[in-house]
Amino acid sequence: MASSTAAPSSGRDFVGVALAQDSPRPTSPRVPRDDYDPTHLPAALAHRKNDELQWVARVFTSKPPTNKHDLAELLLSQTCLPGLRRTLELAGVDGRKVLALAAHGNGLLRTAQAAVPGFALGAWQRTWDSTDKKKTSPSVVLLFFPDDLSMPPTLRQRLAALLPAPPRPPLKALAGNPPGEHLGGDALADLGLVLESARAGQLQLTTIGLSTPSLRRLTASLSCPSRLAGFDMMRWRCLTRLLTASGWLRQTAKRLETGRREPNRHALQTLFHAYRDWQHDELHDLPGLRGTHDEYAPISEPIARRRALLQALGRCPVGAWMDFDGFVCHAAATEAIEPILDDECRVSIGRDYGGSMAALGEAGLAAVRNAWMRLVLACYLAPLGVVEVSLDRLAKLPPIKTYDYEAPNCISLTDRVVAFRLTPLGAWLLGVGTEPAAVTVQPGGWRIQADGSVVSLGERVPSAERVLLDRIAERLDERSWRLERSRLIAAIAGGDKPEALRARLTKLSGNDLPDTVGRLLDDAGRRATAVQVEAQLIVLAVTDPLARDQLLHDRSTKELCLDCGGSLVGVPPTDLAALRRAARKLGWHIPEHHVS
Amino acid sequence: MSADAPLIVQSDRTVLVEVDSPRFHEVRPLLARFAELVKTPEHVHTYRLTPLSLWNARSGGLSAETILEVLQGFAKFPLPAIMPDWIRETAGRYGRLALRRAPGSDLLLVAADAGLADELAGHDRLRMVLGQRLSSTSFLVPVDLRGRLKVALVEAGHPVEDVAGYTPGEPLTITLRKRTAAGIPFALRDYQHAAVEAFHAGGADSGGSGVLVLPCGSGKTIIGIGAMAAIGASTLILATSVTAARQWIAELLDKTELTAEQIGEYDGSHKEVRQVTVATYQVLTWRDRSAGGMPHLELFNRRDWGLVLYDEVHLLPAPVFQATAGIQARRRLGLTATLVREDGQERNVFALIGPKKTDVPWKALEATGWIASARCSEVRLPLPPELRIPYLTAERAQQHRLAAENPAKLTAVRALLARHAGEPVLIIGLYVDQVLATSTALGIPHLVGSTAQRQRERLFADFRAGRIHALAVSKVANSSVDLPDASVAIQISGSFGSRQEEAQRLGRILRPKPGANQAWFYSLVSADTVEQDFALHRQMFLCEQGYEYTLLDGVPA
Repeated sequence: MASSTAAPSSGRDFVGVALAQDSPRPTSPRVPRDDYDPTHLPAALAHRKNDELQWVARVFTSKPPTNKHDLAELLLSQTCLPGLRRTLELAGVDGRKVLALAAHGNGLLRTAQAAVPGFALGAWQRTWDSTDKKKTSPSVVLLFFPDDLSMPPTLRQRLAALLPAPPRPPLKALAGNPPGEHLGGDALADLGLVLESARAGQLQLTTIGLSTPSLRRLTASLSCPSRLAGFDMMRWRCLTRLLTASGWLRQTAKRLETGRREPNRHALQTLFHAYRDWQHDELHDLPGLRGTHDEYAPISEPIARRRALLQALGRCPVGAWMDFDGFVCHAAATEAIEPILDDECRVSIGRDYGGSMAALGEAGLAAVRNAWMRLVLACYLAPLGVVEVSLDRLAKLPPIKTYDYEAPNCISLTDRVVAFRLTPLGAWLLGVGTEPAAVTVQPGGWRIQADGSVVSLGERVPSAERVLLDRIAERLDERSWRLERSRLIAAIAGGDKPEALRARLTKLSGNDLPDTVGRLLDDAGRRATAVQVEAQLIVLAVTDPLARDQLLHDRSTKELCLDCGGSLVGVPPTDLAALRRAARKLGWHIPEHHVS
Repeated sequence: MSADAPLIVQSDRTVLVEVDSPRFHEVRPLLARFAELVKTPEHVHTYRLTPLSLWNARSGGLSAETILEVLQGFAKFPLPAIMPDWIRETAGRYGRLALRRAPGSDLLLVAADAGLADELAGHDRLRMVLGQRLSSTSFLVPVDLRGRLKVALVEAGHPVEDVAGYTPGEPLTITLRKRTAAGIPFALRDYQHAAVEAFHAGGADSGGSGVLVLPCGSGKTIIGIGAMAAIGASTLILATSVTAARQWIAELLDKTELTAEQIGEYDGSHKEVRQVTVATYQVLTWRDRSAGGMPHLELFNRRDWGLVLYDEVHLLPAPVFQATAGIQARRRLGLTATLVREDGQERNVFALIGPKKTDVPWKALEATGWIASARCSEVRLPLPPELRIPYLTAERAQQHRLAAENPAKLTAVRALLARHAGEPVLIIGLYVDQVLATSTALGIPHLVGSTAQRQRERLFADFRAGRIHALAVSKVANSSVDLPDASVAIQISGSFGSRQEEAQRLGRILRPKPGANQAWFYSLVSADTVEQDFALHRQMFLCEQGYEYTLLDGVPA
């Protein structure tokens, strides 16, 4: 059955026809246009070959038109309101599921299709070839994804009114703590990592958002712990990038200059908003990913994608650990979070892991999406205090094979993220909760014992304390550390004061430190400061014994140099010129000293 | 969950127990049934859940659900999500395999289901010890492979419940005296009685093999004798040295009605095999170079032993392990102060001797006065200037010796002897030369490896009687020498970083003492030398047991 109604012309003529599968080629009378303006659609269809268009058009008619214009009009009519209901009938139950998912959640074709795995949808580019009968049959669903990637927003809106929203994959909280190490939650702690890096000479910066006392407190208490060193390095690089982009840091000064403002929650909120609206694409922070030309094309809009992720995050219950994979399922189905849209684009996934997007297909795209989400959680949202993340050990990497079609299980160190939980601070920053009270360390919530172990008895280990202990002690388990002399020495050599460390540890335990621990701190302090660089010395090799003796013993030169044994004579750099002049008078030449 | 709950269960399977919690004493005995005690420092004790500990618990009749109830009931915070499943899965492995007696002389290994039996049949190592497959779920096992099979199954992660029973052994009535031969009232203490019962299990097949972990000075020998009396059969006792063996014989004669004719000594000088025979590990592992092999291992089969008792089981040498694999039909009891083995053979102890039956923390006995309270101090002494350069330029091994033989230690020992004048003092050293030099310089007797047995006994007797107050000993006195009156130990040198040695040496002075029940342990180390580093490692074990170390720069006035 075919029915048609005339439509007033407006710019371009459209024919909207509700078609039965065997209906003849639709012709006039033209149907009235509705308010849907699919101007982009003809363009998208115009790029298709006639064969491709006919392949789909055969769903609607046994005798599809032969010229492109008519074909496009026929197909367009199926997405206009009068023909849409019939078209949806032809899409079948599974097809309608795909369309409903795309209309109500993530508009990507591949995401929607992944939700109905058994449905043979096909794709314009891959399955239009009708000569291969065994391949996927043409589906009307393709019409709604004219660019093979995503459903146009206006079409999504239209379908959303007709198709009920499918049930979302539920967000399930874990029953208890996830395995591994817990990280983040204290925004200042992670900011401290950046400042510590500056102190260690890895970064020169000017801060304009922190006061001297707070800066000192942070730099004295925070550093890159060794077990997470690689991970933290990645984290502070990301955070530095954000802080620099948002004007919190300037990498121009040769020394630390501090501003006058104290950091507070509202400053953090400003930073969070700056991050939310940042044009930077976090995919570029993933060292394991490289585009063919250092680009990821085509890539969805980073701000929109980030906002979509934050939207999904805002639905998580505050304080409950969420399994990462479960969250991905939920977020992917409900929000437009896909970073890479095209499974044909070539993105190398890690030099060490082999493979590329073209080879890996869907699995590779999912791997990239997951790596991006993990990076955002661990390197941006955890440092900003929005979430805490749980890090497990990385699974062992599969054997490397060139042209390996298996999805890699590791793209970056952030792949260790297995779970996360939204903090009260995060809920407030996301606009779904009230401003929380400040987290304080409970004195006496820790035990420091004679064997050097430091144990936290609280439910959470505050980040600042964790980072401090990671620096000076070996971590034994989730809540226990053992103070280590070598780490203490390194920390003190790095600028920590032994008495400050003692005071912090004493404050943590709420009691005097055991004798063994006190002595360990003293000993580390002594060893860290026993040797100081006093001055530099230039060493001259004097091959002539007479020259050596004269330089070391002559009244004019002996005060300027010293015997370094053998033929070597040492000269402080400040005395070199004087020694050269005096030596010249004695008839010896000292060549110019070039510092490489 | 409550704020005063004492347990924090972590996802790495460790369990932290807060000592200050009001429910600490309630949870500790429950936890000890299914978790291994890792360390007991002063504030927070650490236990670890391992497959072995869970299987031990299952062998004791504890179910996974009971274990979870304890953990959840006493946990301060919710359990990690992975724990319940892991506990159920791991504990559930125990009891799925049973070793039973088959008609005839062989044994029958019965699996709970055919899938498990298939898995065992496909396992490389197990195939070698499994006999004919009798049905979809059972295998015939040659009786002589019982021990090897148990070890292989534990290594494969499938512990077997050994209910094949024991040979009763040659019956022997062993009666404990009410008063010792010296006329002192004698009875097992409560914890000793409990330990014997944990091992014996009323004579059931579920008992009869296992390890009792008790601190030095707690009367492990007495517990061993109690176990012998409970079983009432001929017994082979394996001790670490001749001195220790004779100590056993003396205790048996003192505390039981056994006569000297019923007790044999089997060591380098005696080869008596009697109803109760005390042998040394050394003689068992003596290798006959001409004929090859270890002929004395035959001792295990020379008599129909009803019980084989391993003293200081943490020192059990590998050949004795192998021999033990062949006597799985006999009851076996291991005694030790620590299951820490420097060679990491705890799994073999579990499989071949048996599961841990009881573990009493040192500090618990100290609190009840059954062992002395000890104060530990490390005295750091600088090297004399003239030794500093030779020390720095010496090879690493030589450095340790130079530091250990620091002459400043002699002055410090003098000062400590003066400080503890009148108290029995043991001076313990690693190097014989140093022990002899100290003995000579201070004019005190010494006991080293070359000291004749008769001389040793005379020295011990004099020391016990208080005729001598100080005795310099080498490492021969590390274990199994009962010196009840020593209340001060001065360690002048130790075996590099051996934690076990430090514990044993402290154990020499922990036996209860009249009066304040107080003992002192001094470890003299050369400051800023490798000895200080080694000392740190050694003292760690004691700190983990809850002993606080005081670090002193020189002997205080």
